[in-house]
Amino acid sequence: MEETEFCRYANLYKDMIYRIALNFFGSTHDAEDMVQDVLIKLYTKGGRLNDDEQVRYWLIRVTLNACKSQMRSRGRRQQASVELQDIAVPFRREEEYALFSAVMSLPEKYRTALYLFYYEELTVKEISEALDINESTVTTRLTRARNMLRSQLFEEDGYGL
Amino acid sequence: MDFKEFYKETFSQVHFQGTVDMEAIRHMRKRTRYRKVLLAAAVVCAFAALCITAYSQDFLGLRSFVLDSGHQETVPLATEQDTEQSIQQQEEYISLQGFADSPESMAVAEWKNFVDNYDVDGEIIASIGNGPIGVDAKYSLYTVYTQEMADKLQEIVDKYGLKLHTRNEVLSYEELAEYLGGEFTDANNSKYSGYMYEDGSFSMDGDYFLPDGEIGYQLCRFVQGSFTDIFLNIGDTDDYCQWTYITANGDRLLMALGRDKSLIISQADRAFITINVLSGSGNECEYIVTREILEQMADSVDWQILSIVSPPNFPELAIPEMLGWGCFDEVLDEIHDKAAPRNMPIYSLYDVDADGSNELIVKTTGDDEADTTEKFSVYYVDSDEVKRAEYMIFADEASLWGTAEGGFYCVYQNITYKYNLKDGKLTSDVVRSGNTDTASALVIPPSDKPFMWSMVDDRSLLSGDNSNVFTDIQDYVYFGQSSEAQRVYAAILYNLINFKIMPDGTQIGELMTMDADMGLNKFAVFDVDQDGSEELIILQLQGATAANAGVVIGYSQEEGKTHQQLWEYPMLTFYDNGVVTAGAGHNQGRGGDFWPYTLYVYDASSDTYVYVGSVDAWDKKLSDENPDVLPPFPTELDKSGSGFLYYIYAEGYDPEMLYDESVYLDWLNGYIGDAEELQVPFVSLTADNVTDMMSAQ
Repeated sequence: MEETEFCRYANLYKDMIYRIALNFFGSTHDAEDMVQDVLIKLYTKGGRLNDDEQVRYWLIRVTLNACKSQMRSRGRRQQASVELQDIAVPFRREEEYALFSAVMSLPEKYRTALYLFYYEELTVKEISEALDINESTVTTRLTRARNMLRSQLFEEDGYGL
Repeated sequence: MDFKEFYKETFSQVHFQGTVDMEAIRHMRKRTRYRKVLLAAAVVCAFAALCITAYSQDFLGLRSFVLDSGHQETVPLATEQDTEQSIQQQEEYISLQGFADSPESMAVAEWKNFVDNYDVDGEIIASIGNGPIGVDAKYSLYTVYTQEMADKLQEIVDKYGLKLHTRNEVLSYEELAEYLGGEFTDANNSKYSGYMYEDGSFSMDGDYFLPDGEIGYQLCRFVQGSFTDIFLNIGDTDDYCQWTYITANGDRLLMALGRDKSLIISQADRAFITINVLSGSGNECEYIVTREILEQMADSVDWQILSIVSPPNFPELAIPEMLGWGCFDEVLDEIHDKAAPRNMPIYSLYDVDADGSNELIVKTTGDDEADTTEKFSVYYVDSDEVKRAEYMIFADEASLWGTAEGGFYCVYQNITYKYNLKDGKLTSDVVRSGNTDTASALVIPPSDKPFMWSMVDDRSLLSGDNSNVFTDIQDYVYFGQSSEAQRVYAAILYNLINFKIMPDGTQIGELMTMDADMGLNKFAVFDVDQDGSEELIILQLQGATAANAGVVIGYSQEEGKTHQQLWEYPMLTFYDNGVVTAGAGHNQGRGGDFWPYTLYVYDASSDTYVYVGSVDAWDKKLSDENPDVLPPFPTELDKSGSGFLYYIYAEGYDPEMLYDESVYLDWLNGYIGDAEELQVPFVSLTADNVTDMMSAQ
């Protein structure tokens, strides 16, 4: 990939890679490292990706695979723990911080599914392919994640959750 | 703003704060290019120079395992646009069942050759979709989705005198060890689960732990005489450094250290055992494997145990005798633990509601997910058709279910099963197999005892709304030998708990809020009006006080429907003569220590409670303590000297008058008299309590 093209994609998708990795690991350090690792893969990638959307989807898959690989190399027994104080995001509203905290308090598998569904707007089928799990598993994770968030956050106004 | 917008707005504020190190990225690219060119030009020489190829005569090296599948394959290794040279990498495959000239390997090679050239564009499999393939279930453990494939597979196994696998069980490490005759890896290895075939062939994933990391591997043993359609892409055999290693116990092993993977192979009397190590000596590997480490891994395995091959004594694939009534979680867990095939659906056929047709009872059993009532569903079966096929959705980590064409489908570990009712028994048909890491075909036993019947679905997952509300009593939940009324009450309670549906079929609104914790409310099934039939009493106790309510619901067997007997504030006191008093929600008048209430009596002709009157009072103490706020207590009217005067809002009494306590008690005793208060056994409104209530009958 040419450097100018690479820089364009890096700028376009570095936040996405970071958010996926942040949801996966729950750690800013790991997520930042992951951005670098994934961008190296993008820069050294052979073959062509035809458009932005193809690059985006390719990056989502590569990021998830790299996260899984990284987690695996640490040992399966190690769980990703979220330390919110390390994740300094200046949210505009209190409710946003509450949602962010609630999401990050969920187990990894729910966080990642939520992000891919709500933010990246992948379909259940696409998520199942990206995570290499059944579609029913994706819907179960989304349902449970919503239920957990609902019980934590939305006793009154549920944002349609 | 909906949740999606809220979520997006929140996470859009999360940004990558670090910097992209372009120098490091450029450097990595140079390394990658250099490595590829080096590999293309000199990889064989480099490895040959570094290795001492000294495997013994009984092991002729990896090349003796390479399948002859008609052609050798090359794939592009690098596709850099600025690399003019096309670099190709050899792809060679080995069987995990023995040398290339063994019947098992020749069969795999022939099968691979067939599969590689069959349905190359995927047109056939696309046309099949999820429809039935009509292939005999005995091929279910293989990637077979047409009769032509099944015929070819059969031709191959017949040609080489092999048997098809008939069963495949997912087992924990401990169970594997039990079948194999003892623990077969030492403490430096993970104890993950694996799967085993009926002939003792097995496979499991593992990790080998080192002080500074871990190495993933796959350990498998394939027994001769059976056909296994598994083969391994090992790249180019010339890329491996190979030698024979004799373990401390005297086991002779073929060791092969490759760039990105390594192999340890042992030949037993009737089987080959392979460890496919998922790392090699290449710098790009997560953990760089050395010769010493590979030998350490070999020493961590008990090859003696693995070399003894005997078919496992699997429990019979049959559902055991049903265990009777009880809370379905416990009952089904017990069934599952005792004898049911692991991770397979449990089901039963029985005419639970005695309507002349069987009901199908299903429980999915996926991993740790089959632990709630949400994993149960019911389909009514009439003659040869599954009715209410539109009821769909089993949320389960392991299974996805669907209904169509008079049957229902279960997708489990990439195998789709279709079920049909024929001659009063369920039969299954493998629709399509996905891979070989699967469970075997189901055995469908008849059952003559019901064990549970519950219905919960999660239509919101599919439809996104609650448009398919259950309003018909027949849609509700039933349990075994309980009375018709009890069944109906259970249905009402389940609908309340699971769907927030009121007895009249409408969505909860006034009675309870949608997000309420239902367990904070209470219910009882008890003959509160003393008419000889039980009523359902629901007390809504959570949420705003003003919205709290107590509801008494009766059931008419003749009419086959429920009706509301009373709707009041949930401070209910029932008496054994059919009188009930309902305390008011608030005591904001002059009642003081007297709590106002309303009194009803039971009317047998309408099977409802009829309003009699309400009572409030004036507590003298309240006036005495608040002289600036309240007028003086009219002591002259308190003939009894009780310190209370009463307002009686009932027929024959003036609502403006204050009555002496003697008058009030005369009125009250006219209804209650010698009646005694009933002790109604209220419990929390939970699914488990509903189950307990029904199963206690």
